Amino acid sequence: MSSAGGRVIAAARRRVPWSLSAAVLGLVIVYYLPYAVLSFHLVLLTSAAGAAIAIMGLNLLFGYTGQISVGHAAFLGLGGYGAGVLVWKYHWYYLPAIIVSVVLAFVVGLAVSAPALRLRGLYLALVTLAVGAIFPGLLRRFADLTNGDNGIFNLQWQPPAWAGLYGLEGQQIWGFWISGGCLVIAGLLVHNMVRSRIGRSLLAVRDHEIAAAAAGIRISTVKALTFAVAGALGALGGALMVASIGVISPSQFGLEQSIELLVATVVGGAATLRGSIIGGAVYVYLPYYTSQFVSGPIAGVVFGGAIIVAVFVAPDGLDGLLVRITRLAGRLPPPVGRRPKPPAVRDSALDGREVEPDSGRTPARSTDTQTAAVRS
Amino acid sequence: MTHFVEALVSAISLGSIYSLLAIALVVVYRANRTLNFAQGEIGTFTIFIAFSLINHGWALGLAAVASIAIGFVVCAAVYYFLVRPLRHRPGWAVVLIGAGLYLGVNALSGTIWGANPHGFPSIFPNAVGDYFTIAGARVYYYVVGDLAALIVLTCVVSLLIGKTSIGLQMRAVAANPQSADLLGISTARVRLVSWGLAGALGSIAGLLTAPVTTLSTQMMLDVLLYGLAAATLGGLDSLKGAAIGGIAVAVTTTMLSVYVSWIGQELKEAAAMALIVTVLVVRPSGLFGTAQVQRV
Repeated sequence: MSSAGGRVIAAARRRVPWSLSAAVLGLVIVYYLPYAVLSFHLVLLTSAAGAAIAIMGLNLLFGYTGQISVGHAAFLGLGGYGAGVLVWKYHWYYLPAIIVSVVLAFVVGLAVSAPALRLRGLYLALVTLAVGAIFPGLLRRFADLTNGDNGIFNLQWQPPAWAGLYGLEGQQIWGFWISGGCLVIAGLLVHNMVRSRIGRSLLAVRDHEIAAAAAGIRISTVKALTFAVAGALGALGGALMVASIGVISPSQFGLEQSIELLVATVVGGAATLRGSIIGGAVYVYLPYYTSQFVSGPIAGVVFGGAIIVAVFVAPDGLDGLLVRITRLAGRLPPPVGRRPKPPAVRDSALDGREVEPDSGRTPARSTDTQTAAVRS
Repeated sequence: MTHFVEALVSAISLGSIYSLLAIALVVVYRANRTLNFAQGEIGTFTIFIAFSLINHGWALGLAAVASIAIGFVVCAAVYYFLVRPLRHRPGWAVVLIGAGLYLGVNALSGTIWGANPHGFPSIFPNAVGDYFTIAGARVYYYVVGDLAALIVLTCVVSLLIGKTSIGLQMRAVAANPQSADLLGISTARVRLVSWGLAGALGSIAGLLTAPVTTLSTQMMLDVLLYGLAAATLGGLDSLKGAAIGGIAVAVTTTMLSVYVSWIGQELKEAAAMALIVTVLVVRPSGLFGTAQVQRV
């Protein structure tokens, strides 16, 4: 084949990747959605978009790399308070405030990864738990900066004049545009990251750290990078939630929220992008709807029960459930890189010896091609 | 000196409770290599049941025994119905069950007994005058009782694991579940007993906590956090580590908040956690835990 012919074929094959098309479609949806839903739901959707960004970060850390974190809410708080304090106290514009707080969270994520490089499984979980548990205390200790338990109010990001949005409704639309737009862009970035060499090395570290190291992956670099990116995404999500809701207080970023984020990640679907977005919706809508059906503390009983039911009914999260249903209809190829490893392999996210003796029979689920390729 | 002894005494009382919960967590960890995040909440739930029984005219001792027995049964049931079916699933599935129970049981207690705190009688004398003095500091009898309970229970659990048949089986499962199974040990039964034992210990921790903090749905939140810290500090598979870890965590937090003024009440948790993380970085398996060795 002549080189000219090759070039023609190459040019023909250089199509726009579908992920980019999906992102553009996503932006279009984000632009028009505020005109299609009630303003009340718009506010919830805005929160869900922010939560979804944060959950993408947690999913990178937990779903893809197998590093459990029970302190992710601290990063949301870091972003929220970082941006909120800069806007409230130092009268910054929102855009630079969010950028600075995201960069700050990236650095803090790197710092947190330092002990994480030596610890694994539940020991690591405890370190992240410590970060999550002490964060509200820190906010209260430095009350002159953060206004302590009183919180900060009226922080909404007001739409600029060129946007043509006015009043409360305009502010809500603007908040959704910002959050939804960031969600689409963050989703595209995370998608590209996990489909690249980096993403495959994350899966390799999750599935077999020693084999990954033997294959030439720098374990410490991968883990540090993942912690930093997860922290940055968490901060972005937190900052956006504050920018749209406009209220912030230490109790929004406690241990309970960290647990809920982890639950939302897994219930949505570990190690998938769709799962993170579903997780964001779960994080916002599940407590909302349980409190609609039942009031008072019994809502918590329903919420806790829903988590337990979800573990049994949807082992791969709601996304896995959807994929299974769709695949039953013969539409989708087997998913890539999503399945948690089968139990017969050692060194899981939580422990090296989870395997029960009677698990000798091979699990019915087969491993997917990508993890299998990485593992072998 | 008086001040120091008083701080130390209150720290030891708290630490005994942390240690008991840490031991409960360790017993489960040894059996299943997982943590029961709902350990504290199930404990609270059983103490609420004891509270209702006392209101129905039961004697405190009888109600206490009942709550311990219920703790055993509830945790064993949690293992049998919620944890065992997940044995072919990755470890996070059980962590999620724990999170669901943590939120659900806490809310259940709140639904049944309300959010207001209730007074709860102590199984040790704790009237205003029940103390003796060391170096001018008041040492209440219930503090001695807490420490004695910790020591006795640590000995009992150690003897159970070290000297009995079921204890030998528990050690075998802790060391290597596959080999234990091949040797004819019923791993399911060992785990059932371990979870039950942990549940009983959690109830005892609750019995000691309730008179001090008053009985409420919030009472075990801190205890769980510090219990987790204690178990990790000591090494997740070490009973001795859990017992020492709980006291160490309590003494450290109390002394830091009393003697380092800029730490104060808000940062004492942060300081203690920072210290524990530092210890873990140097010794990744805790002070007394078995180092995880991987065969390639």
